[in-house]
Amino acid sequence: MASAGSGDEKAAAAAMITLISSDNEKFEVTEATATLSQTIRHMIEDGCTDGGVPLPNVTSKILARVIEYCKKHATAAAGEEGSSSSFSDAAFLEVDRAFLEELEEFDDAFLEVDRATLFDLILAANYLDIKGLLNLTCQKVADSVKGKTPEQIREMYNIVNDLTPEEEAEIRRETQWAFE
Amino acid sequence: MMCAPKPRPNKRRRRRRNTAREREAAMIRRQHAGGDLPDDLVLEILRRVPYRSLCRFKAVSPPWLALCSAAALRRNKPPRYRTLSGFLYHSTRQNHPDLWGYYGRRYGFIDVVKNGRPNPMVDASRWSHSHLADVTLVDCCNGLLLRGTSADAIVYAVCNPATPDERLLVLPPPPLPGLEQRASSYDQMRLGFDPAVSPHQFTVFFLHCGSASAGRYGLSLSVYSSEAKTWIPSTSSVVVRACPRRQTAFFNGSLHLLTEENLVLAVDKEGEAWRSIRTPCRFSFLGHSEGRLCAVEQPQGHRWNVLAIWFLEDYGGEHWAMKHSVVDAAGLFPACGITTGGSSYTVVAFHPDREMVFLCAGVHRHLMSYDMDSGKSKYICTSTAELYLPYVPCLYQSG
Repeated sequence: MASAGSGDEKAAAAAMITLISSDNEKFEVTEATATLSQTIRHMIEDGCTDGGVPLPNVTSKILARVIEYCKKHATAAAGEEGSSSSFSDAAFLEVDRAFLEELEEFDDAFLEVDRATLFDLILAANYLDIKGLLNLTCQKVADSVKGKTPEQIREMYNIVNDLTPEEEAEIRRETQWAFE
Repeated sequence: MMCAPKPRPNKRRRRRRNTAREREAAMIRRQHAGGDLPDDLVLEILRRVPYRSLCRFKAVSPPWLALCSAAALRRNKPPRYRTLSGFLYHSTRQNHPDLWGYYGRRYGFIDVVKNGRPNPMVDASRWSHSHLADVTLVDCCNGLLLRGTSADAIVYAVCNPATPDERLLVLPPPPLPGLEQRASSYDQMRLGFDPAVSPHQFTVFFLHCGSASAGRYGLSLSVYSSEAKTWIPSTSSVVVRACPRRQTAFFNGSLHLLTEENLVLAVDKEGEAWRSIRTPCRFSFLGHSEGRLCAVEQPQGHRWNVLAIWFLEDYGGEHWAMKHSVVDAAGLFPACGITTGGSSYTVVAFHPDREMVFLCAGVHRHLMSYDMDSGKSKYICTSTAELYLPYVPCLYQSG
């Protein structure tokens, strides 16, 4: 019985899931990669992934990027689970740090995309419920706007300012310290 | 504005699939129209913008005003909010004729805003008055100051330095637990005050650490609340060793302290609810910045000159992330035109609203700021101060 059980586990670890993008492109990924998405995890738990998982609001271009992210971070997640007990082990921490640095480099390179792609990644990360990716992409946008003046923001996002001059002056007075 | 559907983690999903599909199809039609994000995702982004920028963005347009106000509310900040204006400090060192700068005063105020304008919040001249000569500054929290007078027995009092009459509220002596007759040098008195929660109430925490000679390591706590006007011993005690230095932070209504066991211990204003948060490495300083708890890694071994700053990502969790790391911390000082004389640095404070840390270094005790975002360091002053208390003025009357 025990050997049968471990056999099942092995099969589960190697199980492949097919993801189908909005433009009908099929992507084969391991279950470990796919379950970084809570949305897909729940579908797997519900047993409704046979014949592929249709993702009608993610294009193949974006899905390919999302899978790239998940593959890299799935290995990181696997490492973390196995090591929670050696939390304070100094030697382990060093190794862990080297890996985290590599992961950081990957994330930095991953984020080198135009704004439209970045927003699509945010939407996909939100829809697929991938916490790490949502955090990463939102932080990237946050970093790109912080420290900017209201004028620069309007220019960046083509925003028409329909505050009256009085309203704007009032807001600026209230938050004057932020403009100093 | 649209809202992305999130499948629920229950089995009923299959039955609702058709409608979900329809909604998803409707979403695709709208999604790429303008590349606009739904409000909840815009809030996700604004949540990560520094508070200062958030306040600026209110002036972009009416929708931004609404979104930034909502994002600011999530951070639990008071509307009439003031930021760090400087440090109250005290020094017990003798004047040294070879030193220059801020010395000779035993108490003082260092303005870090430094934009040439007078600061109406703090009248620094008041701090050089002689009647403060026997006063020790103990702790400062969101505009209130806890101070002690060093007579035979220390008398503690709370005041608001920003109010004209600087009214003192004298505290009764804190109780000593059990058979111990005298206060230990490891005892710590800390102030907790949040004008956003209540402008008229404060809490004083008295942490009594059993000394090694008495064979007691346990930490016992008594809490003085301005409402009860008396010390109430906390019924729960924990067997931990608090760090003997001043490694505490009042944040989210709780006092946080570092222990020798690599834990951050949090205790609420009633002294009842304790929580311990594991730390990934040994921390030497604890504070808060931009609404998050943050800490400095203890420099040791081959990392003696490293400045590594960790943030607690989610207050409810235990995940610390190393946000900034400077390999050559002493190298920051020459960058702002001073030399440290080879000695290492000490972190004295975090800026509460910017990713900025204040460091002190060198035999002449140079104080400087380091902006973690831009990587720029800036010299502030040279001071003989032994204790820097970050001061955020509060214009409410207390007590």
